[in-house]
Amino acid sequence: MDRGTCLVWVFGDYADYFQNRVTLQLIAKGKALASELGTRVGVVVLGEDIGQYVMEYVAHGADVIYAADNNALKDYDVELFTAVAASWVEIFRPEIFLAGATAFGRELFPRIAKRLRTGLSADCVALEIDRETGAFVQTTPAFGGDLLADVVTPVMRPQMATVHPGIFRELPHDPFALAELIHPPLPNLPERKIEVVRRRKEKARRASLTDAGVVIVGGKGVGSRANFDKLFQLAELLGGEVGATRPAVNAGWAGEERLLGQTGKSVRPRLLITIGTSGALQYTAGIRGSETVIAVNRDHSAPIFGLADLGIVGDADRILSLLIEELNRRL
Amino acid sequence: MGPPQSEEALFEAIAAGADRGVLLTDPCFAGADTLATSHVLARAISRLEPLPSVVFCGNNTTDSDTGHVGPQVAEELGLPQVCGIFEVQPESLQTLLAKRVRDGYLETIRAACPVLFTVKGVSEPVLLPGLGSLQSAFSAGSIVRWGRNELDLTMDETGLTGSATRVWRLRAAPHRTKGEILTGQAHDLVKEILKRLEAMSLVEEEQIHG
Repeated sequence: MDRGTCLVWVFGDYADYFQNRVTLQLIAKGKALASELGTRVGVVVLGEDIGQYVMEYVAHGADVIYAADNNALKDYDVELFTAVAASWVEIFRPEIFLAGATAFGRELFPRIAKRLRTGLSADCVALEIDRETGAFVQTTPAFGGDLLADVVTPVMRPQMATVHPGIFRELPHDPFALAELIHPPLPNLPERKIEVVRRRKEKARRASLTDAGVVIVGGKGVGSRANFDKLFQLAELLGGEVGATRPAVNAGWAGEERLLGQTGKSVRPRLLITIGTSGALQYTAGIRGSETVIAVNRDHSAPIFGLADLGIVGDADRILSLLIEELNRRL
Repeated sequence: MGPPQSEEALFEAIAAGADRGVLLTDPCFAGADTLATSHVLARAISRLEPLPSVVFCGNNTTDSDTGHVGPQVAEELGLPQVCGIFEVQPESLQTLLAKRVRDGYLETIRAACPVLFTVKGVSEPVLLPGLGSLQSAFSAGSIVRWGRNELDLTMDETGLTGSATRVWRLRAAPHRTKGEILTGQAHDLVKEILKRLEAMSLVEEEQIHG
C-alpha cells in the first residue's frame, strides 16, 4: 500500500448515520482534492464502538483512518473532540480539514479552528484547487445567497471548511477497499462540563418554520382547506414545516404565523416545495434564501417557475396526493 | 462590536432591560473574519467586572451568517458552549438547564457556570421596549465605548490583518432561471420530484424488486 502523505482530512460525523451522508460525500470530494495535491484522504473518527463507521468510511474511499475508540469519547462533546482533533492536527499537520455543516460540525469546527488559530469558512457549496495559484478555494454563499464568496486561507494551516450536505456525491460502496489505520495518542482529556440530561424524539415541537430544513408552502391554487391539510401530511413525511401565502391565510387554510413573504416570515430551507402559488413578489421575497425550490403550478407561465430549480406543471391536488401516497409506500 | 451607529442596538437592549452596554468600535476592527471578531469580543468580555457567569450569543449575524463567533468566543475564554438553545432556566446556584432541538431530538442539557449559550428560535415572544423606555435609555448614558487601545490589542490581532481567511473574490450567484420545467403525466412528474428528494437524501432510493 502506498504510504504517502495524507494531507486532506475529513471529520467523521456519524450522528444520524443513515440520514446524514455528508461525511461520505466529503470523503469523495476530499479524495479528488487529495489526488490533485498528490496526497491521500484521511478520516478522523472519535467515539466508542466505531468499527462499523470505520468500515463504511473505508468502503467509501478513505485512504487513512485516524481513530480513537475510547469510552471517554462515547458521546459527542465539543470540548473533548476539539482537544483530540486539534492535538492530532498538530502531530500530522494536514493541509485541508473538512466537516459537514451539521449541527455538530458547526459547533466543533469553529472551536478547533480557533484553537489552531487558523481560518474556517462556513457552509461551503463548492471546493476546488485553483489551477493557476494552487489556492484551496472555498465557495460560500454571501449576502443572503445573492452572491458567492470565494474564500482562501493564505497562510495558516490547515485550511478548514464546513460543507453543506448534499453538495457532493459519495463514492459507491466498495467492500474490498483497504485503508491504513492509525491510532494516534490521545491528549489529556478535559472533563465534561455539559451533560445531556434527557433526549427524546420530538414530534410536537419541531424546528420552527424559520429554522426548518424542509418547507412546504401552499397558495390559492391548492384549492380547498381539505387539500391544504395534505400539505401538513407531506411536511410530516419529509420532516418539514408548512408555510402559506397571503391568499391561503386569508382563506383560513393556515394561521397568520405561517405566512411567508414581505409581511410574514422569511425562510431559507434546504428544500422548499411551493404548491399552487403564482409567485407574487410579496411572497417570493420570503423564500429567496431557499437552496432548492420545487414549484407545482397548473399555469406553465406562472412567475414562480422563474425561481424554481424544478418546475412541475400540473394539478396541485393530484400531484400532492400521488406524492404522499408514494412516500407512504416507501416508508 | 460594530461601527459607531450600531450603538442604536445597545440603546434598544438597555430599553429592553439591559443595565449597561459596551460598544466595541474602532476603525481597525473592520474587515474581521470570525477569528479576529471572536478575539475582540472575548477580550472585551474578559475585561468586564464582574466576569459574567453566562454569555448569550445570537446564532448567527445577518451579514456573513457563519454561526462561528459564539463557539470561538467560548474557546478563547475557555468556556463550555451549548449552541442553539431556545429556553434556559436556573437549576441550582451553579447549574442551568437549557433546551434545544438537535437532529430531530429535544435535548435538555445541564451546564455548569460559567458557560456560553448561542440562542436560536426562542419560543417566547420578544418584549419590545416602549417609546418611554427607549427615551430613558437614551438619557441614561450607560453605554461605554472600547476600542483597540482600551482592549490592549495590537493592529495585527484585529480586522483584516488579524484574520486568517481572505475573500478572494465575490461573484453573482448563478440565477435560478435554468431550472427544468416539466409537463406530462402526474405519475411521471411525481417520479421526478422523488428523484430530487432522493438526491438530497430526504427519502431512500427505491429498492429494486426481483
